[in-house]
Amino acid sequence: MFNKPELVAPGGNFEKVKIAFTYGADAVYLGVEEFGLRKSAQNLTFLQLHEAVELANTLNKKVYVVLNGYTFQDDLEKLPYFLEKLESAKVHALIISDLGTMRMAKKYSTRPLHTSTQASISNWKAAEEWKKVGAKRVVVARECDITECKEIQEKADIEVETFVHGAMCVSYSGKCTISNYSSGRDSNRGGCIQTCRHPFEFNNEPNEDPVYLMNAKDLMGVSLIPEIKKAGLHSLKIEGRMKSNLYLANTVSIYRDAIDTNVLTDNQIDTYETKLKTISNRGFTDGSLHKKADAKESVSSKWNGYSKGSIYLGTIKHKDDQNFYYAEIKGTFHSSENLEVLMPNQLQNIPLNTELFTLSNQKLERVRQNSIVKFKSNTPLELYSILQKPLFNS
Amino acid sequence: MTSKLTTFISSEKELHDYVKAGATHLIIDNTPYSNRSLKPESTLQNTISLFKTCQTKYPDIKLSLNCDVILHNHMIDDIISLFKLLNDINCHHIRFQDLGILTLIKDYCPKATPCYISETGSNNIESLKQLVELGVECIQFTNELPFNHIQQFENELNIETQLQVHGHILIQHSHRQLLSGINKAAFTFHQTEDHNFKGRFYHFYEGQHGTFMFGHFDRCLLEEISRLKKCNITDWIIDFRGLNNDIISQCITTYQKTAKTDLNKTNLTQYKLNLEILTKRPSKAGFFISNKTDIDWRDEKKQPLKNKQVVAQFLDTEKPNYLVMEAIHKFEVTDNLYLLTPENKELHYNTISISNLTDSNLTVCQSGEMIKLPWIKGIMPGTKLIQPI
Repeated sequence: MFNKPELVAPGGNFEKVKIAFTYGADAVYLGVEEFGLRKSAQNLTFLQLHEAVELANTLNKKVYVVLNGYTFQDDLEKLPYFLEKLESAKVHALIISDLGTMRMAKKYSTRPLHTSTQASISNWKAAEEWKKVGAKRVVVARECDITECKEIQEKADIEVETFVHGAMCVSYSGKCTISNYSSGRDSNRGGCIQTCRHPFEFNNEPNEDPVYLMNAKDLMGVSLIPEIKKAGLHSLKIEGRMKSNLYLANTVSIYRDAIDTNVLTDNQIDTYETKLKTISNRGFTDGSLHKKADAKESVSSKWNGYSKGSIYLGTIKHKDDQNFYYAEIKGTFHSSENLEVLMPNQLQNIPLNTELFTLSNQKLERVRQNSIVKFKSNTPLELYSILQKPLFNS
Repeated sequence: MTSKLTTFISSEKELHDYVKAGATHLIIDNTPYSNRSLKPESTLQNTISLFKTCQTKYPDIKLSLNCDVILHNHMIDDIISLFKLLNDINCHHIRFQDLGILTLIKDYCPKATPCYISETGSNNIESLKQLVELGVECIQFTNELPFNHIQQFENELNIETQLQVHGHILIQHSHRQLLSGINKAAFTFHQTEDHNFKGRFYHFYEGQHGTFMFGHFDRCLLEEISRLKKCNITDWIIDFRGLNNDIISQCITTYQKTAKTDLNKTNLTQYKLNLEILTKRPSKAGFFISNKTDIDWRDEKKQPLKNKQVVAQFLDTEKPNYLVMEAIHKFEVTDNLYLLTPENKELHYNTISISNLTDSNLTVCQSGEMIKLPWIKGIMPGTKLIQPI
């Protein structure tokens, strides 16, 4: 019997925080207005942050706030005010990539400090240095395998968190400025536009097709959960603050189940992987978790677009006294199409055959995105259940 | 103060050529722990031999070792062996970017000055002070810093400083052997063109520590030389690793001339053009925080609203029946609420009534609650409900 690692999920907005907790995350990481790496994510306001922490405390879960953008001199002036506001929200930790930000955080906050994967920590000596300057945990570079992670955790005597799922930089995180030079958007301050995923032509071979040289596949480490548990790693992280509610619910529920299951069979792992592959992806790899990532296996150099087996349609957000469910719809669909519902604590989707209505009780045939529908269901549904449309010709 | 003219060597030929051209500080780059060494077959004995040759023939030349690999646990013992050898032969600086290597320098090669180089990051004084407290005695600033910050840091830090003044700009470092992955030769430079941005030519190089990508223009501070001189940087670094010795020598000689003489803008531009002709690549001063991310970040219109807060956001509307929003905070229904469209147009109700989805009037809306408001002309997706504070 091994200790269960903490499951840390992305909280791109307050709703996603609630979904992550509902589907089994032990902690969420999120951005608050500034200093994060996902400027396009909706992020949370400070008022929402207070609510999120309160919710987490009620559920015995945790909220980690990212300040993982690289700090420039001009940012230092407003950093103390920002840190003091995070202190007053009593967040459970701050995730930091810059030594100066870490130093300021020690001065203006008593919150535990985690070093971001942006710092590219890949050895126990570096982890020791970050520990000296205040880090309680290091989110190690995605280039580390499980054995290295274990060694870092043990020799530096520090909590280690490693990514197990989601999109990956092809670069060492924090060692890339392609967007800066190609578009004036700072990769390390939330402006990354992923120029790395462009096709490139080799000039000395003009007859060759362009190659997606740096188009990293997505990480999927669910098959390695038993090994990770055996290694005793402290925390496992899922990438994707800007991804859909379906991605979040599906991924968190599967990793929750994998972590909680004492002995995973090959069949279970196959089931997990099949379900994870239904969500839009660039092809999967186990990255460097098992051994150093091989470029042939870990890069989609001949890119034919995203693969998916299911489309996110919406999220159930309310139930009224007359047993009507209300869903916020994000994808267009026809009411006659096959719909399924993903629910918390259930790995199998539930078919949904029902009539759909507007709030003024008009029956709907074609449902448009950015709308609210109401419906009844023979099967009781839970808040934050996810509506999706399976694709059979993926 | 005269800045040192600094460049990289990995052979005796380069040593002689670059000293002759005017280099006064050489960085030995032929160890397995130099991230993008062009001499991967080199042994520790080769490295030590190059140090000794240089010390014998050019005793006034300052010597450093490049050890800028991203450290993995399995490399630690070999690096310790290297540092023990270096401690006996008077290596002035050891350049590193991984903090793990800092402790190894202090423990096993204490005579050398630890010199921190960062491909990016550490662009603020607090970060640099933290590095100094950890034991760093020399810092190479990133290419992202504007001159005013370089000067400020230079004044506040009492340590040696370095800056790349010319050469290829490293913009990405992957641990993966990307070129081998598509059957292209490693240990050689490949020129590629971004298929989505024609005319942008990037170089890729794959070594034993992964794949490196270089910008579509080179860095050149010749036209900024007067500002550069005022910064009192200890070392001006020319990094053209991979180009032939003649070009690098020409570049060193050019900077030597400009360092000694105050040349006018026309001459400096001509020198810049001459180097561009040799390298067949455009060059620019670099990337001085002029990025759009920061422009967005500092845009007042994109800052959180002052003296008011967003209390609900648009979900759905049906003309002329209703507008549905989601409360993002708990708030009380007051007469002062108004709608703000994505185009910053304010829409006011004469009297506002807010109900829940089953049409019961609300006086307080809870965070996360879906609420109904009367339809009003002008609303669109992205509209927000605003409450003055």
